[in-house]
Amino acid sequence: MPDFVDVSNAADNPAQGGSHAFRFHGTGREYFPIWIVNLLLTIVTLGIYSPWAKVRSQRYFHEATELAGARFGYHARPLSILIGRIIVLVLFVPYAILAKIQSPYALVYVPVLLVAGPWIIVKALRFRLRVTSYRGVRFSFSHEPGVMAGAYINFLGLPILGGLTLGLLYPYVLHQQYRWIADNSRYGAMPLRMAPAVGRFYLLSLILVAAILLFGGGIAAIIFSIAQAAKTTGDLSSAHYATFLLIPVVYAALFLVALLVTLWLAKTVVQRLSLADVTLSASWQLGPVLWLYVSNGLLLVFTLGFAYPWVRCRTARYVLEHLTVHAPTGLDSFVAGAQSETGAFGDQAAAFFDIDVGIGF
Amino acid sequence: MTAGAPHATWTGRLYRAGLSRAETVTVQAGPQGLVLSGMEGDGARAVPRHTLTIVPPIGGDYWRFEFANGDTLEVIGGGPLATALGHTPNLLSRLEGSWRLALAAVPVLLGLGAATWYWGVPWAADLAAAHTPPWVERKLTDAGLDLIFRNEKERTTVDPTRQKRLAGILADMVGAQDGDAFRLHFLNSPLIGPNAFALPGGDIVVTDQLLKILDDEEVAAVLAHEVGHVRHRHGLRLALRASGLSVLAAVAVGDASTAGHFLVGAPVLLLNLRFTREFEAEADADALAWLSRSPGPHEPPRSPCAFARALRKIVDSPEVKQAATIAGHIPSWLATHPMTEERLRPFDAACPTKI
Repeated sequence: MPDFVDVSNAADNPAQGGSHAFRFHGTGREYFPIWIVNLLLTIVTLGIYSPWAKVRSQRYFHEATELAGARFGYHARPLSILIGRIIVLVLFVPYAILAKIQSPYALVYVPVLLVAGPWIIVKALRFRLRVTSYRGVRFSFSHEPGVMAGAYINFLGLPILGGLTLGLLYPYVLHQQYRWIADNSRYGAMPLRMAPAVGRFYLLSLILVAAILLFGGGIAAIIFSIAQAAKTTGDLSSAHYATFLLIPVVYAALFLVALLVTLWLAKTVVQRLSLADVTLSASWQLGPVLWLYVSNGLLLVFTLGFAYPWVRCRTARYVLEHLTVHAPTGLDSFVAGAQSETGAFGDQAAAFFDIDVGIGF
Repeated sequence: MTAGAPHATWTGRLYRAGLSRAETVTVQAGPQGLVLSGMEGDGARAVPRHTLTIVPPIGGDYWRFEFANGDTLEVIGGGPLATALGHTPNLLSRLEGSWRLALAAVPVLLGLGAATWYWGVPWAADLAAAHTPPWVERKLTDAGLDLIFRNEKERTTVDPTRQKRLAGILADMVGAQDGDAFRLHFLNSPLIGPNAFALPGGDIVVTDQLLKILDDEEVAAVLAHEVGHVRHRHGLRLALRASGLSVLAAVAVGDASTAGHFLVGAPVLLLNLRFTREFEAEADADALAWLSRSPGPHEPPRSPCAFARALRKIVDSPEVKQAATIAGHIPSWLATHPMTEERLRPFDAACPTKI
């Protein structure tokens, strides 16, 4: 075979360039015993096993996710998660006691939490991305000196400004937060980028606000008409009781709009991300997502929660398999960034509070 | 144990340290470790066993081999390869692969969940209620009273002397040391109909519609029942138990779906009925005890018959009957109280002459 023919790429054709949908190989059937063992050991050890359970289930979902023939990896160490959780517990037991005896000193924690918030967010993002890998290369979150300042601007300064402008600035604040997270995320040494979408954020917010106002008006109209009837006639006919049935309908309509806005928001963000020349597109649609919500809810209720592994897997499958990566020059050219171990504490503090910072894998 | 055939080969993907570039390689188990071939540039490469870490899959068959120099090798279906290198699955991964264990665990977990649901949550909620300072109940009650008397603008039409008389009966009933906590409120509400209810802090509300059909002795019997609710802190305990169950249901059903939250509401509501029945029975027992005790020298006469009379009058009142006929609207009084006749059996038994 001549030297210049690249054997690996010939065999690896799909990775060379083009579009790849994510594939999810996990199944409820396979995840069920894993989940049960996690649950049993967590109960038996009174929660001490929970970091191990978390790592094992995260590993299951990462390693079942395939993109262009390669799987994702999750590398968090359970012991560091456990230590982080214990530290958080120790920090918050005094608060629980102070609150219990209704001491005004408990209020000291409010500014502490406010000030620590952005710091925790940065630590959480660093941890979350650092322990994720793909093709032997880790993701990471910026360690540049300005990143903490950025966190305080975007997660403390701007929200206060948003409040001062009576919420008019909130869509912009949300947009800046998403953008800041994306722009400071990296795959290897390559930074992720998010193209601006301020207009779209305002449009979606407007739709949501309009829906909430309509919803409030509808509920008020129903209640008012019934109250009016009760006042004038003193008793209610069955027609008035039927009006009550309109309330769940109005609720469902609001839920639908909220779901649609959430979906559009996710698409807006995902389709504006880029990593060098690699871009993403998503084909999530309202109908299937709504069905996923409803069927998941029914499954969980009628199995008393035992369908949870199936629910997790079918949700992951839908979300991932409708997400496509466009890599015109392939995924072979990324290199790892500088290695840096992050401490467990701040990272795990965030894991303890289950702070969802939105983006990330 | 049978290791893979000596010359079996697998296809893997090799990533050099810090590079995302994938190389497809042929992998074999050699006597000292892995033997890789088919890479670009160099020929076969031997990786000694002690320089590589085998990362077994959690479910699935994605095997990862991490080399000491930072390279990573991925082999789908690499189980036999790992076995040939001397890897044995640990206890945990054997357990995680066992459907028998999983199925056996289901009834255990169900039993544990049911025990928490039936005994754990009520016990914890009652414990929390016992440690709740009285001012919390006071706040809850004030908020509730505000809501009730703001929405129902109609003033009570009950004669002030009767109001005073009933308040006196209540004060005698609860005794001097509790006197301040208990307050009687009158509410004119055609919508609620003949009813009485107790709020957590000791405020008892009776409707004008109730006073219209009951005499003072019967009202006193109803008040004795409501005082029972207050004494046992039923309001707070019910609220805490209900929130405990909602939390438990949310944990069981998970946060995977918002639709789930709408659906878990209904069973929790049904369970509240179980608690309210239990609480009604407790309040009835208190009422019976008070009614069976002989009155003080200046107090009006009392008898268990009065409670039975009161309840039958309420159930037979046109408002309650009319409400019951409207489909889908069962008055809370009927739904939450044990079936009337069954409830009244101890009162009838204690009543010297059948009414």
